[in-house]
Amino acid sequence: MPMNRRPLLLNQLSRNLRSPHVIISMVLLVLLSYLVLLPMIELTKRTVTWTEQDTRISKSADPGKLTLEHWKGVVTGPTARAFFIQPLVNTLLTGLTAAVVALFLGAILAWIITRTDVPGKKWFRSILTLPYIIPSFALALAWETLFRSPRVGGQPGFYEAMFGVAPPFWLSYGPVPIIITMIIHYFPFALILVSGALATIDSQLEECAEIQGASRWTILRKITFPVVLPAFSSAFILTLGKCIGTFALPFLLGSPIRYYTLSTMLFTGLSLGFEAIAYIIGFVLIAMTALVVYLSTRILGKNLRKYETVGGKGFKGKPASLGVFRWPVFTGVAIFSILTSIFPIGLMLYQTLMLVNGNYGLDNLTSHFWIGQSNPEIAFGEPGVLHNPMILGASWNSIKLAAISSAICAILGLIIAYVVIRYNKQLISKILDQLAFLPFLFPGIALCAMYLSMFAVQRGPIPALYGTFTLLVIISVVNRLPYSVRTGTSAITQIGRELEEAAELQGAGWLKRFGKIVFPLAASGVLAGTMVSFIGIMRELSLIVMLITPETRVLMTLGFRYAEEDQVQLGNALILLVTAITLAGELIIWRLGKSRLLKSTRQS
Amino acid sequence: MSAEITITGLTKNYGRMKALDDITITFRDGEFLVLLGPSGCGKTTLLRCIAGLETPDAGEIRIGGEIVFSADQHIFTPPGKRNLGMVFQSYALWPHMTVYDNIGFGLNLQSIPRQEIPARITSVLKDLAMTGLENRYPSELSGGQQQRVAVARLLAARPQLFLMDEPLSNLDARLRVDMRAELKRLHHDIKVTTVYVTHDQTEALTMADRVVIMRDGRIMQAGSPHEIYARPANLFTAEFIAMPQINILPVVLEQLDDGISCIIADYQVRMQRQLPECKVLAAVRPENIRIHPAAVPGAVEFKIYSVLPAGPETFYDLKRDTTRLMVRDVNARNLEMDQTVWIEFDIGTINYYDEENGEPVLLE
Repeated sequence: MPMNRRPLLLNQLSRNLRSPHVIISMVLLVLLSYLVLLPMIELTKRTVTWTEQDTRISKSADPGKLTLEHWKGVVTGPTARAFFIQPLVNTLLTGLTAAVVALFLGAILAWIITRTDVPGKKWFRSILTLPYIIPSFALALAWETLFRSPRVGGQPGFYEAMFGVAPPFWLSYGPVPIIITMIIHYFPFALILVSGALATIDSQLEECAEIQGASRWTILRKITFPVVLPAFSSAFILTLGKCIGTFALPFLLGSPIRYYTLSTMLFTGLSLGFEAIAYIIGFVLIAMTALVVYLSTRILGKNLRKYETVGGKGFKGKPASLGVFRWPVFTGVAIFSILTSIFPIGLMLYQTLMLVNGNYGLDNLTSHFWIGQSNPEIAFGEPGVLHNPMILGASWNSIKLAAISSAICAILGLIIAYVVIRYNKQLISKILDQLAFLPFLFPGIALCAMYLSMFAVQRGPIPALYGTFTLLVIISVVNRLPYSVRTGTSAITQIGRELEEAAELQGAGWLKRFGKIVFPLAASGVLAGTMVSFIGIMRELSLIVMLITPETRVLMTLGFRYAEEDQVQLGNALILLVTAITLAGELIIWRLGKSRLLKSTRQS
Repeated sequence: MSAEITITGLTKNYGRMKALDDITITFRDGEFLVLLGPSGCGKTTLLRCIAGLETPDAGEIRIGGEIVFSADQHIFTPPGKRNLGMVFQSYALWPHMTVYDNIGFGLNLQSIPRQEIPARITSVLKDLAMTGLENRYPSELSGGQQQRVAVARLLAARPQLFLMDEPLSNLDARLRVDMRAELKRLHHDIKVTTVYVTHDQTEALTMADRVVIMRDGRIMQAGSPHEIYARPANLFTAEFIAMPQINILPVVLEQLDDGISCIIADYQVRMQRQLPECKVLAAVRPENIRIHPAAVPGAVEFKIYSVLPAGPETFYDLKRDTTRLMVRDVNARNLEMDQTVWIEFDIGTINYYDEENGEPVLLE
C-alpha cells in the first residue's frame, strides 16, 4: 500500500487550534519583546547615539547619529576616573569582600543549624533569615542611627551619645559600613542556598565513610565539602551578583561622602542629567550580572550532572555532636542573630520615639512621630505617621501597587510556565522561557534606567507612561516575572500531563482544562508565589526610585525622601512600617507552605 | 456498544526515532487485546495514537468503521469525540475533586440529561463495590480504591472502546492479581473492545484474548496467549516470553540418509526435513526437559550447578563444559548441587530459529 509519509501540517494545525497555546504564545512573545527586549535594545542604543542634549557638551554631536564618543568619554575621558573607574573599583571591592564574608558566615551558620546538635535550631533558622527579609534600606538607616558622625552634620548617633566621642569616621561612612551592612543583609541568602545543598546530601555517603573509620573532620573535608562545592560556588556567585546591584546601602552610607558604586553613580548621573554616563553604567551593570548568572549556571550545570547520584533520601542521620562547645556555640549564634536582626529594628524603633534626635534620655521620648498632630515646632510641621495624609496616601499606593502587580505577575507567570512546560519541544516555548528569565539579569536600578529611556516619550501607539501608576505596575511585573515563572513552573510540573489528557479524552476543551484542572491545582503554589512578589514589590526601592512622582509615591520612596532630608524619625517610622508589613507577609507565606504540606495531595 | 479497530500503515516518528513503523492490524469487536513489549517498543505510543493524544505521521485509524485519523484525507478526530475511555498508569484522578466529581466531570460534558447523571455515578460505584466513598478525595483512598475510581470513571461514560495503559503496575503484587481477575470478569460481562498495554508478560498471558508483541515500533507477533507461548514466531518473541527464562542452544546439523540430525547439547534429534543453509538455534523451555537422577539410554549427562526451589516446582541450573541449561521440575526430588544427572528433551516442543535473522526454520 502506498503510504503518505510527509508530516501532517493540516492535522497539526487542527490540533493546535484545539489547544490554542500557539496563539497565547504569540501574544506573550510580542508582549515580552516589547517590555523586556526592546528596553534593553533602547538602553544599548542610547549609549551609542548622540542626543539633542549632547550638542551643548560636544561640538561634534549630531543628534540621532551613532557614535562611540560616550563610551570613550566614560572609559578614558578626563572625568572617567571619578564617574566610572572609581565607582567600578568600589563596586567590585565592596561586592567581592561582602560576598566572600557573607558566604563564609552563611556556610558556617548553615552547617551549625542543619548538621549539629546546637539547641534551638528551628528558632535560629527563622531569626537568621530576618536580615534578608527586612529591606536593606532599614539596615542602612539603623547603621546611620548607630554611627552617625558629627562631621557630616546633624544630631549625634547612638555611639556618640553613649561614649561621648564621635565614632571613627571610617566606621560611619564609606566602604567599611557598606561592606558590613551588605554582609548582614546577604549572609542569610548564602545561608539558605548552602543549607539547601547540605540538606540534600544523602547521609549514607557520610555514614559509609564513618564505618570505614574516617574522623568527623575527614568526612567534612573529603566527603561533605566536595559534594556541596558546586552549590557553594554558585551561592558565592549569586551573592556577588546581589551585592553588585545593591543600591540603598551604598547610597545612604557612601554618597554623603561621595563614595560611589556603579548603582549609586547611575542614580546620581541621571539626577545630574549625565544621561550617557548613566546608561553606560546601566549597561555595564547588566553585563556584570549576566556574567555572574552565566558562571553560576555553568558551575551548577556541569557539576549537578556529575553528582547525579547525590540526593534522594535526604539527611536523616544523627547530627554532629558539638560536645562541650554546644552552649558556647549557641550563645555565639544567639548574640550574632540578635545583633543582626533584632537590635537594628529595636534601635530604629527607639529613634522614632525621640523628640529631639540624638538625645537618648527617657524624658525625650514622644509618640509624636507616630500619632502626633501637625506641630510647626517639630519636623517642619509634618504630622505623625498614622495621621499624615501623605504617608497614608503612600501606604495606599504601596499596597495597591504590590497587590495589582503581584496578581498580574502570578497569572502571567502561570500561563508562561504552562506553555513552556507543556510544549517544551517547540521553539517558541524556548524563546518565551528565555525572555521571561531575562529581567533576572537586570539590577533594579538598571531596569529603572531602561524604562526611563524607553517610556519618557510617546512611542507608536503607546503614550509616554513616565509618571503614571501604570508604568510602576509594568516595571514591577517585569521585575518579578522570572520568579513568578519559576513558581508557576514548579506548580505546573507537579500537575501530571495525564490529568489533563484524561479530561481531553472526555471532551474538555483547553479553557475548561485550564480553568477546572490546571488552575485549581496550581492555585496554592501560585498563591504563595504571589505573596512573595507582593513583599518583594512592597520593599522595592531602586527599581522605582526614579519613576516616582508626588502622586504615585509609595512608602519606600517617601522614606527615602525623608532620609535624604534628614527627617530621621519619620524616615525610620516609614521603613519600620514596611518592615512590619514584610514580616507579616512572610508569616502568611510560611503558613501557606505549612498548610500545603499538611494537605499532601497526591498529584501523580 | 462496542467497536472494531482497523489500523493501516500507521507511522509515528520522534525526531529520527521511529516510534511506530508501518503498523497494520485489526482489533476485533469485543476482543481483549494486550500490547506487550519492552519499554520503548511503541506500545504506549500506539495506544495514545488510538486515543488521539498523539498525532501519527502517516496511516489510518478506524474505530467502529469510522475514520478517526487519516493522513491522506487530513482527518483527525479530537480525543473527546472518539467515544473511548482510558485508564492511565497513574490513574490521572483529579486530586482536587471528590470521587463523585471525578466520575461526573466527563458526564457533564456529554449530552446526557442532567437528572440521569447521579444515578449513573451511583450505579457504577455500586458495581465496583465503592458505595460510600463518593465524597472522598483521591488522596484519601488506597491504591486499589484509586484504581477502581479510574475504572469507574471509564465505565460511567459508556465508551465503545476501553484503553488501559499499564493500569495495574502501581499496585502491590497481591492486589494486582485480584484486579486482574476483576478486570477480566468486567470485560467478560460487558464485552467492550479493550486495548491493554503492559510490559508484564504474565499479565499479558493471563488477561488477553490476543497478545500483540511489539519491538522497535513494529509488531513481532500477534496471536492467542497459547500460540505466543508454544510457537513463538521468531527468536525475539521466544526470548521475550520466558518464564523465567528459555534455553537458547546452538544446533549442530548433519545430513543423514533418511533426513537430518540435530545435535542439541549433545542430545540427538532426528527429523525428516531439508538441511537449512543457515546456522540454527534451538529454543527449549525449562519444562520441556526431563531430568533423571540415573543414567537413561540416549540421555545426556549434566552436573547440577545450582538448585533453585520455588515452591511447587524446582529449577535446576545445569552445567556441562560451557553449556548451561535451565530445567523446571515439578517432582519434589531432592537433587543436590554437583550431583550428576541425565536429561532428555521433549523434541516436539522445540522451536528452531535462524541465528542471523531470528526467523523460524525447520517448520513442519
